[in-house]
Amino acid sequence: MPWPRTWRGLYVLVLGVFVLCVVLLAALAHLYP
Amino acid sequence: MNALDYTVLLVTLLGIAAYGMWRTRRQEGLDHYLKGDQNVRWGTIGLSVMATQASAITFLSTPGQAYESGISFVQNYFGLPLALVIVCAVFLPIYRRLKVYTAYEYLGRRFDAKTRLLGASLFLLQRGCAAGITIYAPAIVLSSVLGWRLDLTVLGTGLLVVAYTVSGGNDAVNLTQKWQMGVVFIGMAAAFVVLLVRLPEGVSPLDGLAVAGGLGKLNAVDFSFDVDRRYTIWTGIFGGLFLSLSYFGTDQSQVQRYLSGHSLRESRLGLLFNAIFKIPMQFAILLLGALVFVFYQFERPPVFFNSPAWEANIAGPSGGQLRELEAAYADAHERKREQIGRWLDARESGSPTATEELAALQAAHVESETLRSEAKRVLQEADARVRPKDSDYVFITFVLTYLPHGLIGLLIAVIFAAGLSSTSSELNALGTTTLVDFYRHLWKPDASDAHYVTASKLFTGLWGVVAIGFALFANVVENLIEAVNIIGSIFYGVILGVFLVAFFLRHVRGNAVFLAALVAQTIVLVLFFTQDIGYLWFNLIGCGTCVILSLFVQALFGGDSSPAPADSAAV
Repeated sequence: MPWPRTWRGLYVLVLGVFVLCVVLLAALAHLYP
Repeated sequence: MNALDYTVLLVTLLGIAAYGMWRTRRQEGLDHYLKGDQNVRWGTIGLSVMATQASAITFLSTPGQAYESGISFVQNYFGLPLALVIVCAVFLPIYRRLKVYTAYEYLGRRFDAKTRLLGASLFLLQRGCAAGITIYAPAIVLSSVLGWRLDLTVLGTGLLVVAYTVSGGNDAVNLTQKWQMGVVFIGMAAAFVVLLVRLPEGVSPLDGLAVAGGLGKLNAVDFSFDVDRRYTIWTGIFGGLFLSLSYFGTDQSQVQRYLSGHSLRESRLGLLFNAIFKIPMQFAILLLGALVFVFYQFERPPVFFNSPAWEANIAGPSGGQLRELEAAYADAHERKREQIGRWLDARESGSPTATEELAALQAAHVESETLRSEAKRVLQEADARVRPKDSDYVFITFVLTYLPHGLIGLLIAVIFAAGLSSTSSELNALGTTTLVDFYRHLWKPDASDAHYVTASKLFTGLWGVVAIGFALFANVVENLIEAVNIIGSIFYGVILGVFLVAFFLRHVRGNAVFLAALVAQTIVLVLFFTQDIGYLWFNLIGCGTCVILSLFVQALFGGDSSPAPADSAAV
């Protein structure tokens, strides 16, 4: 696996993407209107 | 629907089923039939897991839910990524190391035969009912709006899914799900394009989003601790974690999907694909609903989306009152549409009156929604059989009224494809569990591979017949869908508790966990019949009670508390 090199790294990446999703979703209500 | 739509629908559904049957016509032994050719890559597993979870009702109900109350339902999936990481790190390596066919076979290795049978029985009971509902729920909506006969719709979809699931086993399920998900993605993309193209001149997609946001449909995340709110980030993360952990970790219809992977790596990547894409996918379906809402701000929507029920009553004694409400709703909608124009103009020009215009728009929206609620009340008084909730009919009404022919057929195919893909996984899992945990385990442990393949096909077919029978008679029982959800919540918690003890409490043995599970299940049932508790809480109560009681029983009367074999527990 090129990057992340370990499964643990991949799990952290997945959870990071989740946090990013939550932040973007929370921001949506503030952007519109 | 015209001939083109029927052609698209039938070619899509029958074509995928026939392709699945043809490609999997040669099955080499039980291992192949139940787990596939063991060459499945992560992309197929990822799509298969996603297809199993997304049922027809996902595409009928979810956009309607966004239309009614916004996209906050997406929070329900917030526990899912964490649960999938736990399944990847803890559950999956053990299942693969022990080379089990079913999750309950694992309970037999870790504890004893009775705990295995308890887990398998609870699964068969719950999933057997649910398989009937996954056929019935879309059939009731589609047969009503399309004017089809309900029994023929149930029989048609039921027999189709039974045919290819029995014939091709696990491989056929994987293969058809990949194509069915392809149809789902194409159909959704087409619906998005139509919605954006059909916005009125001068209203950009960003203006559309502003209208959805201005009327409260884009409030996705709710950080409040108010227990009366149905969806908040906290219920999503904690409740969703429990639900997803039971569903992905212990429900054979999902376990069988990822166990068919070529290696541990492929299975893990398939699950992590869902951990990343499930929330965006649900968001996309909800956004589709929010855009349908925006669309209906410019085109007048029906007062009540279940049009067959509305039309049946407009000719009845309450017809006059319903027609008056319909006219008042049309006027209110027109005023709201004009107000949207004023607000968008003010917003675009940066006018200081934009805030006031938005407040006026929100007031106009409340006025039209009040009329809609009043119409629903009158309708229900006139006909007690009509359910006031019409959100399941929102998306299908939009599809049938505004999509071009051909695309209508494709979108109906999307709904059926999603239903077939869930049902095939369920039947596959029910057949496998009956064969592995009951037939081979209790009655015929030493038969030939060919015998087991035949028996497995027979059990899958029988479960198909049970599901179809259940779907045919489902309308006899009122609120059946809710009843099945409640049954699920009553049993899911205890099953998860048993698995958590198995993985994490190595010194707890079979007798202790079996007794704890029985007592926990009894407590849940007593609470269910005597207390007024929201049924989602039973997941937590059942799981917590089972784990705590297991520890107590093991400490007090457990006898043998030497650790279980290292390869059957996580710690």
